[in-house]
Amino acid sequence: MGMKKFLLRFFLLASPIIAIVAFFSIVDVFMLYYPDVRTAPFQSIRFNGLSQNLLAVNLFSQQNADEKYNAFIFGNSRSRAFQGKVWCTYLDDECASFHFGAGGTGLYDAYKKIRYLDEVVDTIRHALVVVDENFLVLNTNSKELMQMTPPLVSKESKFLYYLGFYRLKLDVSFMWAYFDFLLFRTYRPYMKGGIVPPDFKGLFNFTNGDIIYPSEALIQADSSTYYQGLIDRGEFFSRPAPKKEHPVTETEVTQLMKIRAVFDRHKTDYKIIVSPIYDQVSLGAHHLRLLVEIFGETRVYNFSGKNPLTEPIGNFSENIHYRPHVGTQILEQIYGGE
Amino acid sequence: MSWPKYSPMLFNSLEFGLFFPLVFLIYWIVLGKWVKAQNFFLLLASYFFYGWWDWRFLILLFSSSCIDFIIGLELGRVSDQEKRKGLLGISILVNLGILGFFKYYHFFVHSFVNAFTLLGVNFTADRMAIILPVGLSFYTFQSMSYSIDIYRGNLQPTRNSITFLTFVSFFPQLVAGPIERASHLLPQIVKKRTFEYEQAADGVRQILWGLFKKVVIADGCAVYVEMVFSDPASHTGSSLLLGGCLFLIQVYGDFSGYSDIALGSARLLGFRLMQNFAFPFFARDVAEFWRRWNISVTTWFRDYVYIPLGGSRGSIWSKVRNTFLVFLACGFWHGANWTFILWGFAHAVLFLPSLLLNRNRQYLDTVAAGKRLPSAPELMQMMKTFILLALVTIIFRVDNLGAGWIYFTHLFSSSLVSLPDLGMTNDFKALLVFMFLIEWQGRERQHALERIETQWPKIIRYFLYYLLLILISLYAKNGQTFIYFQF
Repeated sequence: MGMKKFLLRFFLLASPIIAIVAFFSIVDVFMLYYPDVRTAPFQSIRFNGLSQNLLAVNLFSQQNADEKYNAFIFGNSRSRAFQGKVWCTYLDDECASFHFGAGGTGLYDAYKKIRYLDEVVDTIRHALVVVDENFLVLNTNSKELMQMTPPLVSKESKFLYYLGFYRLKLDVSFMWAYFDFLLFRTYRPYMKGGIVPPDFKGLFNFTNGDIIYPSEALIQADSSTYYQGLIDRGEFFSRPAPKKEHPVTETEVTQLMKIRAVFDRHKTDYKIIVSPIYDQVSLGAHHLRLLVEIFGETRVYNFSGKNPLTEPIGNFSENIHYRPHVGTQILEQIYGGE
Repeated sequence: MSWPKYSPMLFNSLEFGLFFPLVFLIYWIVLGKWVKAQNFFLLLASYFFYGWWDWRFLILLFSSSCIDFIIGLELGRVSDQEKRKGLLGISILVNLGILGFFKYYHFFVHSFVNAFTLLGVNFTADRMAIILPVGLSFYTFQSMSYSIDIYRGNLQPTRNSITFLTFVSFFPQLVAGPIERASHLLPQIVKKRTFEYEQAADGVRQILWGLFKKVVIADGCAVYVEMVFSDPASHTGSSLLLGGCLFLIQVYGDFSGYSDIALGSARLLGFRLMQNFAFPFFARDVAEFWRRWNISVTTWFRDYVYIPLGGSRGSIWSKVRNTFLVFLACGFWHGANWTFILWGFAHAVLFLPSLLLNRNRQYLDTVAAGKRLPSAPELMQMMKTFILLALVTIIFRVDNLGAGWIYFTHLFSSSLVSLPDLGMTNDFKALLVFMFLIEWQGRERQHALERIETQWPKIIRYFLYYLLLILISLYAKNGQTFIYFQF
């Protein structure tokens, strides 16, 4: 009797929470189950904080059977400067590219994805691995949920990973913004942390995982206002920035060698691109030496440090990312002569 | 595939939010009629809970429990005093040996090397990568007290291994206490338990309040605490003092919040664990504070260290010695760092005057019992005690003695007489006041929300429940671990 009363009362008390969790699961707000916004049920609001990494991995696993991807881009958010469509113009006619790069990730993420591909695709015909020093020294899975390597690839707990999304996002401020927008279809400034504004210009390519950042549209619309705003904010600091030494670790060596082994097995035509970064700090000599030793001099292309690509601020959308036209210039330099 | 590494199953995690209801339903609905089955299930659930962090350390938990179980049986059988002493010695040696190895190995090696370096002899010692098992200090003390109580003749050994293993590993209190006494918990495990609505409802309220203290208060304080402790030199003396106060509140919110969730969870399973915090911020002096703070650990040290040493009987010298020894041991129990030892020392210094003046038991009641507000002198006493404790707790937080020195030299500077500037939001200040108010109104009870169903109108109660849920949800993003897990 006591138990019945307790469960009933507890259920009544918890019913609003249960209803909300159920709603968010069915609607798949975080796109955990439906990677494609076009197929997700009732999905009509876009959120900040969807994991690009999860989105890309889900998209790949759902579409690979049809698309038969054979050319892959790996890296952190800087790799977004390389558009699969452009890259394929330098490759063969059968090129079907997929962009695996994800913000804040590192070598661990790329290594796991390459191992995963080794298991699930017939051939990794082409690969671009876009690296920088921060990328190379990230040799374990991220603790940040939004950057974490998805469990399909990392082979870590799927249950904990999905739980993490609910833990991270099911808070009152997010839900308030969500339901407010759902009911009134009006974007209000307070929603900034949760809801993507309707005029957001970022684009996600649901065929090959490419992302175009919203800054690109802003620059193209009015580049002088855009850059003046950044200059006023002190975005473009004086350079070269102080160099931070990161030692080469055993894990880094192992992961790079295993990547090489997979590429060898697939007879992959791969290129290791060291990103041109605004700070004009060259990749650490020992990291560069390691890349050359493992992959060979003809495979490694170093664009870091002070050079024509890192000089104009117009090549950067802020002090972190270089723009797609720079990616295209790099591809031209690499493949143009071949 | 390598075995994945996870953090312990935190009470403020969704994992526990799924684990506990499942255990609760199976425990009562499926197994409610069979106490032995319930106990076996509790044991499995407890091992699962612990193994969630790292299954390898289940072997340590199991083997140390088995040793104390066997020693308990032998102590019950053997009457020869020498043999009994030997058996007790083995139990203490094993438990302290495990604790010493996992918790203090690095400390001793490091101190040893440093001591020789000071003497001009330089050598290096290889460091083993030793992981400190979660909750080790708690379950070894609980297990050890079982052997000591049987040795003293205060307890009959249990002959049921499942009962004993459940006693040591009971998951609500396994990793951060309260450290239960066998005489209190074992009889509850043995007897048939019946579900009682009032107990269960009160358990839920206690969990809710515990979550609020942990997620909103402790984790909220952590932001400001980290700010001042990471760079004390760049803050004013008043900000550093406020940082110390916030750290004391953080530790309280963290540890008492954990204890509330542990006690509430246990009550939902039909157990009553000992109260671990009795509103220590309303203590009028340091002696009263120690009767209200981390009660299970302080009474453990009192019963198993202080009293065997002679307690407060004997000469002044022995009183002083015993007080220092017990506080130093308590400090060292918290961690292998000189800061913890100094923290224990400082508490002994604060405690000593009231002991020597025989005033250590002058506040055995609750402040302003039966009244709405404290008198002005009572308020002053509470504030003075709080500030003193906040200053001492700074030593608990700093990384090393050097960092502590920097903190205190900047604190006791001319900038102490200024307005603190930590950028605390008004929302958070209001939440701190809210916590103190709720705790104040509940200070004569076991926990702040106990029995509110008989005193508060339904609408206000439900408003409070939802308010707490909303606040917990708003602040729950960080999912910080509990401070006392490291002990």
